[in-house]
Amino acid sequence: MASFSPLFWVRKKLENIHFNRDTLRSLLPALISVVAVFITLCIAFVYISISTGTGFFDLWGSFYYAAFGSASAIGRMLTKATHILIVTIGLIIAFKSGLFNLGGVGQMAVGAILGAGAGLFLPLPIPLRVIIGFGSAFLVSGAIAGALGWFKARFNIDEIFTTLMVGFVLVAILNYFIDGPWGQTGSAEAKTPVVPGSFPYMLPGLTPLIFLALALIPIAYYLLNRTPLGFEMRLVGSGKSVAQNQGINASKIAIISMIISGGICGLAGAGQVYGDMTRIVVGMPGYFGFYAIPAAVMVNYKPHYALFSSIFLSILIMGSLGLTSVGIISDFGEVLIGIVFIVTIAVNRLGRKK
Amino acid sequence: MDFTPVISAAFSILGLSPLLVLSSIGILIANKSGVFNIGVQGNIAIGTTFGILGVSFFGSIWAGLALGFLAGLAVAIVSAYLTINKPYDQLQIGFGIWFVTEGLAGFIYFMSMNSAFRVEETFPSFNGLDIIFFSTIAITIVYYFVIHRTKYGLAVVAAGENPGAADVAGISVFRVRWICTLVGGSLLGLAGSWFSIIVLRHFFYNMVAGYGWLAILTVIFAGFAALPTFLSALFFSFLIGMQTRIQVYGFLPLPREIILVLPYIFGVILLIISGVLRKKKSAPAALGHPYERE
Repeated sequence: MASFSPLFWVRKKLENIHFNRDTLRSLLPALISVVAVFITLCIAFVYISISTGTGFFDLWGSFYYAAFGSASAIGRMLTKATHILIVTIGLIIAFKSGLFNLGGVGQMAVGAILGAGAGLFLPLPIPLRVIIGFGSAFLVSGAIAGALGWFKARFNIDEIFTTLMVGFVLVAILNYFIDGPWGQTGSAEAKTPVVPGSFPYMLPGLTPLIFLALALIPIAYYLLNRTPLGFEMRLVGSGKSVAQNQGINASKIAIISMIISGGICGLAGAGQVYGDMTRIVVGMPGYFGFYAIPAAVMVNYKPHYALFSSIFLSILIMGSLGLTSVGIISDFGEVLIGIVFIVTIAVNRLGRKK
Repeated sequence: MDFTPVISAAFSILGLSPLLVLSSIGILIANKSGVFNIGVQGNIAIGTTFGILGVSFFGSIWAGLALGFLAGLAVAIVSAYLTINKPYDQLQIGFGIWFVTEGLAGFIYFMSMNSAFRVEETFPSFNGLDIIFFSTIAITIVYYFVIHRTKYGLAVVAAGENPGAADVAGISVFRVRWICTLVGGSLLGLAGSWFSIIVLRHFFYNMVAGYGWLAILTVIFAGFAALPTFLSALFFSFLIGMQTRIQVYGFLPLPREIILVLPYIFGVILLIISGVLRKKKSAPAALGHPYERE
């Protein structure tokens, strides 16, 4: 105890990291998908520059400019990455217990409704409204996902389709609130009034919401790898019969993991209100619930790497949005994400034995 | 009492059904052989794009349908290679295919067409039921007889239920699965091009909405059987067709946004009810499991 030096501790930690074949192999999918995206972009840009006459390097320029060109572009890019990251962590918890939660979009919608509702209408001091908004978002969307998890556990009803379809319905309810009771009167486009208590900007386009997302990473890591509940989740995820032989109640674990997963997605929805949009607008959850699936698969369901995959996907989305300035439809981001996804699956499988 | 408006409404609702019937039969064929394709949505989207492109380039709706069919076939070739020849997770590959094709659908259209194009030509129709509607009935009947009454159908079912045993019995599981995926994928492309050419008549962003997912749900809800799939596809088409009518006549006091998702609400409720009531598993046993020879 007498001579504890931080430097010694750091060196000890560094010595424990082995850059062996396994480390390289886990980095390989990421590297190869970056290369695949680069090749795809080159092919697409050659095609675009032939058909529209825009220069090849101008296209690269506008792609780069939209993602990194200015402080506010970087801020927006990181904000998008924040949303993807929160949903990704939510999905990872469900994936780890062998469940597919595709309702990220709908659970975000619930979170957004409750977050905005608490901020707009509760007769309480504003910090309390924010806390209640986030808390109720977690609880209600967790309860919805948990109910679908119960149907899966009890009756074996495919959670993929129930979460997805319920998600569509929840987004429709969000749109209803904006069009109907909560809509701002006297504005051309449908949106609610500004929700009080929205987070201030730290940098242009970036709010403290990112700290919530960063805090979720160690929490999810700790939950999955250092607690009995996380161990049981991973055991259920690796095979139901194994878990049952160990005396684990697989149904209970499935429901709990769906509640946590849905709840975190709900936090993402409330976060979108307070940390980005300052109100709810039509179709706000967008595709974040779906982008989170490749973000989770890319890092092999490891929460501590999810930050990188979210930022990577966010760069692709923002860069493709930048191409609209030269007249390209922004759908191109989806193509890139899909290619990243397929390449990652292929490479992940490549290194694994049968 | 004059029943003409009721009858014409019924016919025009039936007229919408080929989208869901064709796509759910397409999904069913692939599912029977053990291939679970979740990227259906993108497959249909590519069909819509190439349908409109075919009409605008060749000036005939038949060319549009043929191009949509071929586009669906092309997507099916890619997904068949990735899910049958490679032992990848079919769910994840399906998502990848969905992202790529749905993105490409809009990208290809807006790169090759500068102006908004509208299809003027149409099929001769009998009270809103065109030739494709009657051929969907024929396709369902052919599907039923091939799968349940011939030895080829037996091979398909064997590949979906127990690919190992099928392989031992001398059936080439890979070939069966390839054929089924290609046939299913081309039907999906045809459904998409029919939807864009005949029903909506022009291309717009995200035009397939969630109908691909609804088609997958139809198949699961119907318990992977031919006639129930056909009937439940008709039922969901009826719900889709009712949306506009409910909005116009206002006989359900629901907000517009909720009416738009009425098929999904019914879909979830019916899926849960049928899952609770169903005693034995109806899905092919090897559905979603890539077959690897030892």
